[in-house]
Amino acid sequence: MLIPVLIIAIMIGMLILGLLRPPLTVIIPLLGIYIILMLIPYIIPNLTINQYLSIKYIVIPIIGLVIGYGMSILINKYMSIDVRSLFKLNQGQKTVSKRPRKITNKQKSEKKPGIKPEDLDKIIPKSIDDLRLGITTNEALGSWIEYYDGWTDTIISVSRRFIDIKDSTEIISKEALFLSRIRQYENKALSLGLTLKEESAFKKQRQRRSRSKSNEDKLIVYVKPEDVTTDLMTTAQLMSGYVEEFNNIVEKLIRDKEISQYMINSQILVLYIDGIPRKFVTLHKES
Amino acid sequence: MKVLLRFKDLNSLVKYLNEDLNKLLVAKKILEEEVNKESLVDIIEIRNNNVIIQRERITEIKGILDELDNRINAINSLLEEIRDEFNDSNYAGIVLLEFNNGIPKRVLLSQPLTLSEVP
Repeated sequence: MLIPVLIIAIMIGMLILGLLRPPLTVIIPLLGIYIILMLIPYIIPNLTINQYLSIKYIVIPIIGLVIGYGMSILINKYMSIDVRSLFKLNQGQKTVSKRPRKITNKQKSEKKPGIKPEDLDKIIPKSIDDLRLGITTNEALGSWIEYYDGWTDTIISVSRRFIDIKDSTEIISKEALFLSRIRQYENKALSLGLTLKEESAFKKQRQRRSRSKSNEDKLIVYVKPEDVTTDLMTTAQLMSGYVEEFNNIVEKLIRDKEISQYMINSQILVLYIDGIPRKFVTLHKES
Repeated sequence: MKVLLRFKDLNSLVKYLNEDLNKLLVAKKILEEEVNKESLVDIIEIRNNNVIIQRERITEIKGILDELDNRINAINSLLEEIRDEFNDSNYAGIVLLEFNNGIPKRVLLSQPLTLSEVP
């Protein structure tokens, strides 16, 4: 009589274990021990401990585990209850949310307006560097450098970047115009029996998955098309002057014979300042 | 100041970010080597349609290294978050990369508006 009780107890234990959804490194050793126990009569035939110690009963705890695991997943999916957190054992989740939290701290410290005295030691030389480089207030697409083996590669890459930015700006201008007139369009459309709709409900499904993070910390943000209108408009305005300036530089680089003669056969660091390739540093190869 | 770059889908944004990241890492390595050597370089600048050539020590421009690090970190965080949220699946719609004070900070995703019949 003792053994069936034990087996039922094991089954309930496995069910609860299943609900907790532990990693395989926990499940497999437990099952292994249990299976070895149940296989004792087959390994050593002479040893008969008890009639319930047999192959038939191996299945019971496995069923328990599977039912528990399945229930846990279903509850999580359809009722949005994390069973593991009911048992206060949500360690698995903690590791997942660790990374975003780190980002939060970083952003918070960046936002702090106060300047510590020891920071001044860093800020002052940096400002001098910025002035020397001609960086204004880190405007537009920012400042950075790129390296190329030769002048042809440099020209191709700079032109490609220019075309990418120009295309992007053109699309943004069109979209900004369309979105800013949306009310007008909407009225016209309504009179024709049509309504303006977002193309799919995709973004709402996605949003639910990452609800653990607050909106401010997220690097990927879902926005309504109407809500980006202002940003698109300012981009279109700011970028038009920028694209023109970039264009002048590209023209000069391609047409100016003096530059290309000078540059040929050298390795080049391209210095983008406020998003425009302003300086070209030629490195002298060691000979 | 915020400006946006528009991409046709998420994959092209990821491609763009990866390419930029590689370029930045290569440039950083080369610049660091040159700064260590304190090598003399020619700096060609195009200012008001004039070409100005100056010979200077590379250390004159080492200030850009901080900018590079900020940029590399920002791009890495973006790529990591995109990978977390989308794995390798694509998102076609309005994909915008937002530059905040010159650093690529956020990805804005939106859906184009279309006309459909009133339900």
